[in-house]
Amino acid sequence: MSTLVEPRGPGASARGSMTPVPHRVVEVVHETRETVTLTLEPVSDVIVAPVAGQFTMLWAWGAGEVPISVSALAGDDRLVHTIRDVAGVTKTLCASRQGDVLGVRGPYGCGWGIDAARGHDLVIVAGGIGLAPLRPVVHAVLAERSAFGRVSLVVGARTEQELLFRAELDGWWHRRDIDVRTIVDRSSPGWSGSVGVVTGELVGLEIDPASTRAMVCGPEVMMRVVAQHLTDRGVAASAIEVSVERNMQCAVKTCGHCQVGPFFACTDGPVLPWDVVASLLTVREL
Amino acid sequence: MVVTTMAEELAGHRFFRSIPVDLRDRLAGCARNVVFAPGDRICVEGTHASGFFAIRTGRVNVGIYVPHQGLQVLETRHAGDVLGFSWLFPPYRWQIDAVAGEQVRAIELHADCLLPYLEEHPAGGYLLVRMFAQEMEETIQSTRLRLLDVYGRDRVHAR
Repeated sequence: MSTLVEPRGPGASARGSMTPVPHRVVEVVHETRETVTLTLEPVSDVIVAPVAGQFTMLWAWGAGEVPISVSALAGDDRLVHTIRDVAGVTKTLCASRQGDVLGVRGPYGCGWGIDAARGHDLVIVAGGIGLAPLRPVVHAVLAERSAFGRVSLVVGARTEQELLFRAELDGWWHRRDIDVRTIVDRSSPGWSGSVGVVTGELVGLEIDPASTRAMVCGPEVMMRVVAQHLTDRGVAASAIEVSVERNMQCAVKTCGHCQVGPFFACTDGPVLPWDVVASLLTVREL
Repeated sequence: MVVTTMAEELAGHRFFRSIPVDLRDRLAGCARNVVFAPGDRICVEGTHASGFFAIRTGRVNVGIYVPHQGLQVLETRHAGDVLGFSWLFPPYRWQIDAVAGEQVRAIELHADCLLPYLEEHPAGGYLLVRMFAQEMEETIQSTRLRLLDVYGRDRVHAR
């Protein structure tokens, strides 16, 4: 099958080996009650360095393998992954301790179009664990801030306690060169931010549709609502990227579990332009 | 210093941007600028709903006071939003509490002035009620999405 979307990023077409490469856990950070960030370093062999938006298949010996996006680019051989415990393999991964050895395949998939966003205003919208794949984008943009126009980051979460990377978010919030907004579904005592869905925070954003690009990651319903809001405000559907996640099992376009219409989320995605996937994401059971 | 008329200020607000000029001018006659400090109560549940607010800047926390727990914030209204539907319907009583989350600048529109005019001018009244109905639909949809608990149900995304 031909790919309808041009692969982006250096690792975009990488198939990699099906053999997990051993990596040792060198740091464990408990982000929230059920979310953990692991830093891994190769035991011997090194995999290709990932780009923002790509994922690897993380293997917990005796438990199985799951796709996990990179949540930071270490700049060396180390890998940084933020994992939410949703039972099964992820429970085992989240229980990892310093010194444990995990298997890694990849990196796989297409990354975020950071290069295409240069010279444009950028709206980054993350919901829940969706902030993890977008965190390297924020790092990249802030490292080269003058290459971008206005930059906004809108983060939604279920509760304040479930907001990821709190210290880092606070640091970004205090900067003048990025407009950071957070909103939670349910307030708790002491929460002084906004309550509602992420589009509530988008309403107040100044958006110049002609020069705006957007990157959206979170639950599919959230991404749909956000993309709709942005296109209603004149942003081109082709300028909006979403991260489509499906049940990726082989990650090399073979098993078919992550097929979305003519696309395979593992290789054509996970990052895809909204104009390409919008109609597919409203097809039931697809 | 640039002095703007109330009609111009209404024209600059998202909610009123698309209404006909004559209706906007009429609404301007029922409006005044108000400022609330952080923590000020803007609406109090059970009291007379004397109008509505078009938020220009700042953030308003909308919720319900629960004994011994204080205001339980259910949603936040932002710049560009309108606050208050209770002025449209009997018994004209606030169903919610609203507190300024930060300094809020808003345009307050008075029901005593607006309702008689809208009764006498059904075309304008219909248009305004439609605009409020759209706001209500958006509020309901936002509530539905939160009831769905998308972040909690998002079991696919372990990342």
